[in-house]
Amino acid sequence: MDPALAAALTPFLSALGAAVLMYATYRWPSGRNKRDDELEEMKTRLEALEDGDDIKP
Amino acid sequence: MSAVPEVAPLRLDLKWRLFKRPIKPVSFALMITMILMGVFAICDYGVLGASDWSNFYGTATALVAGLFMYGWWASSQRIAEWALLGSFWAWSAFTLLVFFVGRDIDSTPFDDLGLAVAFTIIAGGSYVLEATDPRGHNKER
Repeated sequence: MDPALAAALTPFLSALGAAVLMYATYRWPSGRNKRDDELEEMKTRLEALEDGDDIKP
Repeated sequence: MSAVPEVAPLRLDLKWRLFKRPIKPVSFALMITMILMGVFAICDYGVLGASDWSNFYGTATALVAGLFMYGWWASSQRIAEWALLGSFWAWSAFTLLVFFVGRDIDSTPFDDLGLAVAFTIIAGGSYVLEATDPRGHNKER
């Protein structure tokens, strides 16, 4: 393959690979993003409880 | 008395400290490879040769090396994860380049497909381990 074409293609292909890896860790059961989501959900519930509204998870 | 013996939790962190900050050997090694890759790319050595893309790669890998250093200095797990993802990006791009372009007489020892694949796996695997935290080490921090 032409080196110039390869050099132009590879950053985008590997960025795609990195995005897939990020998405995989996002979907992972113990993923950091997942835990952040759980924390946000708990905060929302706590605020709702403090306001007197109990919302079901 | 419990029938099951109590086992101390497995800790994989090394006790190495520098300026009260832990040293993670894989991240440290990846940071060195990012610096070397940046120097080779900007000095137009190796598979990329003298091109705008080699300058782009060199700048990007130098930025990733900077992220490693900043993440370590700021003790930031988030930045360390971004640095690992950045090194995965750099090594996988380099793997594809070596695969597509191949080696020639001017190649550096870095321009080796096996080495590039190995470092891509190391970087990607480290990112997955740090970001998913299967043993719950990072919850304590």
